[in-house]
Amino acid sequence: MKAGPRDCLTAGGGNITTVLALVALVGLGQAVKPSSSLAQAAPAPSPFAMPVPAAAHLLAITNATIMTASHGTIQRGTVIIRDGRIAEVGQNLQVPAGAQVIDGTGKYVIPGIIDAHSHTAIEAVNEGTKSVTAEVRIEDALRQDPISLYRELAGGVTSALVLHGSANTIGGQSITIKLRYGLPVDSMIFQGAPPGIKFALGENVRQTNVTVPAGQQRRFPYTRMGVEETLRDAFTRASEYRAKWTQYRADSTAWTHNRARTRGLEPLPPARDLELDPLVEVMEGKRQVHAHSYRSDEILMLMGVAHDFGFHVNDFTHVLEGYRVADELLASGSTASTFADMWAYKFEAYYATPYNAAILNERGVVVSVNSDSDERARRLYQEAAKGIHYGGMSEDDALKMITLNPARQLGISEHTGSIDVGKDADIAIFNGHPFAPSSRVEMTLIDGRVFFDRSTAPTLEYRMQQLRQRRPAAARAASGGVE
Amino acid sequence: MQRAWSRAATLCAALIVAFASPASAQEGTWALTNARIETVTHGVIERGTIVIRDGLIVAVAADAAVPADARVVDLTGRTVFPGIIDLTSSLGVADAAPPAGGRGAAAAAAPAGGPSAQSTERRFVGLEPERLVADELKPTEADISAARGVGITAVLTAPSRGAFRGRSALVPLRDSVGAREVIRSPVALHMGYQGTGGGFGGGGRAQYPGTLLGVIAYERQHFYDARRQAMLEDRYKISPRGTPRPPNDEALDALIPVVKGEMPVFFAAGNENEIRRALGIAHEFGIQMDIVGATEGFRALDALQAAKRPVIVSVDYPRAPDVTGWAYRSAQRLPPNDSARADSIGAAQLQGNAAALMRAGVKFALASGGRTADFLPNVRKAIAAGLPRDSALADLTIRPAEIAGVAEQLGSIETGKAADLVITDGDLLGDSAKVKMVFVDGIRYAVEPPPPPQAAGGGRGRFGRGGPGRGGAAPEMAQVAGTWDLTVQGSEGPTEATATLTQNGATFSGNMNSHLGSSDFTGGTIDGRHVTWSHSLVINGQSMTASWSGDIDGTHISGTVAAGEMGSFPFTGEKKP
Amino acid sequence: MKACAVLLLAALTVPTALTAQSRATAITNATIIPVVGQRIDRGTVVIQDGKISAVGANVPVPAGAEVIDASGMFVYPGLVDGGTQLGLTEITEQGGPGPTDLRELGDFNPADRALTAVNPFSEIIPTVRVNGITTVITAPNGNQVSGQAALIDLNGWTPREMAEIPSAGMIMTYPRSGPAGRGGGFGPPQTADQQRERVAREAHALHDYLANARAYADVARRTADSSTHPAINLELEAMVPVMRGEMPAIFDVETAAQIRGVLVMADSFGLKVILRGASYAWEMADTLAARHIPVIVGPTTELPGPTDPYDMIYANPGVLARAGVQIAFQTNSAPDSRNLAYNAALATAYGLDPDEALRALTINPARIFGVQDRLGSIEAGKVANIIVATGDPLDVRTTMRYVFIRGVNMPFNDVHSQEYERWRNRPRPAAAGKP
Repeated sequence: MKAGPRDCLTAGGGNITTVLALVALVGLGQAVKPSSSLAQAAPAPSPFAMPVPAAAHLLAITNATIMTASHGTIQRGTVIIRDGRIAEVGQNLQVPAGAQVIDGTGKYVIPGIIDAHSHTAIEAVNEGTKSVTAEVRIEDALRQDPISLYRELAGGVTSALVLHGSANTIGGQSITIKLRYGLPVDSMIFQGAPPGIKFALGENVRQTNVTVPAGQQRRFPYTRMGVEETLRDAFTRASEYRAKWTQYRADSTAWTHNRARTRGLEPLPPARDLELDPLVEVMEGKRQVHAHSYRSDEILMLMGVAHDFGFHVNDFTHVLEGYRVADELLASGSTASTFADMWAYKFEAYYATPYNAAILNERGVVVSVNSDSDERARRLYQEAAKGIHYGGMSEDDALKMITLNPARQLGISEHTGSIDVGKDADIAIFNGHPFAPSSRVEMTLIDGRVFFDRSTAPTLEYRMQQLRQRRPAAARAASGGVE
Repeated sequence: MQRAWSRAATLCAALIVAFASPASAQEGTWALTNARIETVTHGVIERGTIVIRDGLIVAVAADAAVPADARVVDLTGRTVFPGIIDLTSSLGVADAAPPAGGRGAAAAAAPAGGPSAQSTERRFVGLEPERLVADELKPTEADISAARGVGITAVLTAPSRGAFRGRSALVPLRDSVGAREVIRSPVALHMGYQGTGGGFGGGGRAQYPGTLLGVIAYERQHFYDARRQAMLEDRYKISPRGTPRPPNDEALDALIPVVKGEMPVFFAAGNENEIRRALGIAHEFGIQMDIVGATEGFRALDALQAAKRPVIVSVDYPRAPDVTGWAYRSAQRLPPNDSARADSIGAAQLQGNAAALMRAGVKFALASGGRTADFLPNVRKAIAAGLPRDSALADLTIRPAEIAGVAEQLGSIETGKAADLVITDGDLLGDSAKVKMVFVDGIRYAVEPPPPPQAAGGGRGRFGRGGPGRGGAAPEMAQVAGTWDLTVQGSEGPTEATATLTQNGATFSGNMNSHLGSSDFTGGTIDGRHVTWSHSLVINGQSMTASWSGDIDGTHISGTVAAGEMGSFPFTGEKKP
Repeated sequence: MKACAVLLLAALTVPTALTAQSRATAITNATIIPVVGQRIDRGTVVIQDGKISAVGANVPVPAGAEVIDASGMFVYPGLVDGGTQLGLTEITEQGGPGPTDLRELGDFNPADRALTAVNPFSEIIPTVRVNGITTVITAPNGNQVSGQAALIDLNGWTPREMAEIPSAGMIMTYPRSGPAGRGGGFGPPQTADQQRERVAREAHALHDYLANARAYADVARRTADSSTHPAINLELEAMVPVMRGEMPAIFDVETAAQIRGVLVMADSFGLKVILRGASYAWEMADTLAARHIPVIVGPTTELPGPTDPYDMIYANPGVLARAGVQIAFQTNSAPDSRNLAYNAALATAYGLDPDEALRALTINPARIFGVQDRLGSIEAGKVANIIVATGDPLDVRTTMRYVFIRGVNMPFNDVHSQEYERWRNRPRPAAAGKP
């Protein structure tokens, strides 16, 4: 007797779910496969691959409420996407012939969410052995397949700034990614995003909470004064290093043009120093500084250091007391990326207020709300709405905090962050207003390509349906339950 | 009484085997006659003679004359192969200590040292490019004879963890081998990704570099420093007067041949991203880099092709759930009970790694990955997954010889090469091969049945992921064919089942029969003594999958069977005579 | 130092705890969602002596009452957080041992009472209150038996004044194995065998402890009127109401295996069980419904296990509610308690009926803890825990206009509002940016 659908029908009396379960079991799984092309793409898929549907050449999202983040909300609007870029946005647009259409009736379309402070998808976070590790690169530890990326897509996130942790005063070089989940690791890198570096101030770099094993030295610095000294020391060394290279280039040019027999050996270049290279780039304005910070005093301290060494801090991240120095932040050209309402998790977070973003926004500072967490990243839209709750921010401004503002901070607003013609088609589609309580993400697109689609996603509902199908009656009886 | 005596005799025999190998080693002039000879480089001689003198092959031909002073070994019915060269060994070297903290340890890190690595006074942390393995070589005879018993005649040995691990030596598997006998040293600078594990309150040593992030930066900085050191030394040579004397730095001096492209780097990189990161460093500095491990090479074919360098492919396969991309499964709607199926498809893909590299035109040697005992069974899986048997043989012999820079001396049966030979009953790469005799540098070593697991060894997975408790002697591949009576200890008492199995190499199919009905299945796997299979089962009209996993010891099997939501149950069974 | 200054300031300028006035208050022209009973589109709620004295469309405003015109506003019962650490901690995580009283030493501490350690003047409490949370369970957790939870209103001069139920339940943790959905911890990873061994040992220990408590309770009952009363054991004495089914056993669990274990214990010892957390309770929804086991879900802001459905924790409450399980929500936090309603909002996005979500934040927890006659809805005679909001409290965009606790119109004097007022009015410095 071979197990098969027929046996099952006779043995169990057979209802349709049983049959479906068995069909799936014997490998003819078409019947339970989701209907989209996504799941049907590969008949015998590798267990190590993610079937990502190809991007449509022409795609239209029609009849949707479009919150552009740059120019207000368009009711019953259409977005036309051509080769991964937004080609047209507006009302009463003609859908081009041959376009794939996503019916947006009743749906809200917003720019893909940008998380300006993430530690997602990396195999190491802190190289905590030194206080200055400018030479280490997040890119070296990037990984393409963590499920957290998918879950962030399911929260509408399309881009993220992936940073080191905050163990060191100067942590290392960050990377901006697009969450192209399922594609090779190097295709996650956001081409054209400016390079960055993570600095950190305050409690974490002081390591006052770290118990030092017996026989080991406590790491410098231990106070906020020492943090400043560490920074000044690093940039002093970087300045000298830069001067050496400047001198060398001059000497080298002179030597090349010197035809005299006595010109001697070619000038010796200075030793390449991977730690100081990125700091030179910072001083030359070629690398953005992302500064983990809490207290207003340390924010002012870093501004002072930056001023003295001729650079500016691109963004203060966390910046929980930013509301106390909003004017200084604005004047120094720095932006702010904060938590919506996190506080009281440590002493330096005790003077936080959820009104931080509203005050910064009122005073003209470009402010974003970030996650710093693979969990929170999935609901940044709810976090952004707290800007409305605390301080009465407008809906447009709240939306900007997770779209256009982080794009501007990260220097990628030419490419993403709003629904504007010419930008990458990085888009999240909600079933309702993104700030409304019952809203969720239905679909997330990057470059016009669908990377998340709830209709084909492995939801709890799908899992339960499967369990119902495969659970034998005996086991159900044994569990004493009715399920 | 008689039984007791017979057991004592067996024990004695085992002891003799274990301690008497030097006595069984014989040097001299040899003539191996009437042998089937697989030369690897010049085809097969169906019935021929090999003459060995002074450790070298002096003649190999169908009609080679037998010298008068030769000791003749009649090999009628047996086959002679070149000795296997394993490029992934840590034989006789102390490892860098793993981080004390534990949590920060790189995933691929193996326990410190092989089972028999000698401790040295010096404490290494894996940042010692100047280490010269040949100088500190102290292998144990147990390790050597275990490897030889598999058919390995030479190993490339280096520490198995660290960023800069040291420079390797190619060691012939003679007894009491030391620096004097080393075939080539240094062969390559060995590198990897393990830091000291120090970190953000993570315990362990707080020495830079602690993590993957720091390791890569550290390695790159050192290559820049080595370039500069080379420049300083060159300038000093040209113009000693007026040029500041460069500092003496043995670490940088060891790296100079590497940055000059004169010495290769063997970089331990198992998964896709590790491979790509390593090749990125090679590209940045123009280093001649051979990836070692590459168990996910099939995911990085483009990078390996572009590198145009041979690869040392470990056949110590990772578990499918540990492989890059497995996590994608949680982002898809998959059919119920898909996991076991995916696991077996995944295993097939992993075992097909070498075949995929071959199809992509990437040259490679096969290597044990540190688990010597499973080496040939794992190679057989690669063959079953599509690697042509003759290619596999070359990948075990002449390819590693080429990669180690000793193709003139080793890797094939040719006149003038070292007499490193393996004599078998049956095909070395077949299922029922028995290694009977090994020559290393013309010295004959008898091969006895593998000693009990705890006495053998050959390390644990260093380049892949070592399975816990799976080191030890090569288990014979379990013979599953036949009818088995199984007893499952269910929650409501024991249940009987009958399994009728048909074996096909390392896989099997069959039929399961019990009061729950009968069902056919395919896709059973055999990994040494460990067998797994699954089949569908109908209970009260509901279908589910039963997954069996057991270990075979002769005609006895024991293990567990998992039946979906019902849970796991132990089972035992006997093969019907 | 700064902290002290602010604390002093707050304490001196505006009293944080207020006492009910005898004067009546009438909230008029409001849309009233009483939770129990029909929505009233243009109604009045009258508060007198800390109680709701009247509610309805045509309720007269008593003479001399303070009138709050709530036109365009919405009136709800105060929200109830079914699990917090409020009052027991001031600065979490890296705060060191000083500011927290969350976990006593030892595995079994049934005699420890959360109410003992509640700081009524925690700066966190007002920040929670202004989001409409008026009543919470606060408790230690993490041990096998952690101690007694208190159901408190978020106003009072002393812990005792705050208490609705001083000992509302015994917090227990059922041991857990397996791949983490949440929790996890930072110890060395355990093998599957080690986990099984540990879970078996801990479950055994918990079982033994309950068996001891059962025996003690039985002896205590038999000897209640005699002089042969055994030596008093404070711990087991504290377990007596639990063993008699008078005090609920609140089990912190996640997995179905844990829940099954709890159910076995409930059967063996006749416990009245409440489950908390319970991310995987969906697997047991029908059983829990059939057995009338309530579940306090949350926080929903947790990651599911790596191979779990991405929306599992969001969707779990909806599955339970549809199966007929009585659910409430918890944040299991002090500072995050203010996000209680937004935890529920995430669940409504993934299948929980919004009306049921509102019940889960109000009347359900009242029923679970047996105080439905006093709390959880806007009905005459109930405690006047009432919020007046600009909209649906689940909507983050909504703000509270008034929060009444036991009839007291609570001032919005939380540190965050105060800091906002102070700093938004900071004069623009002349030379801003000059370091």
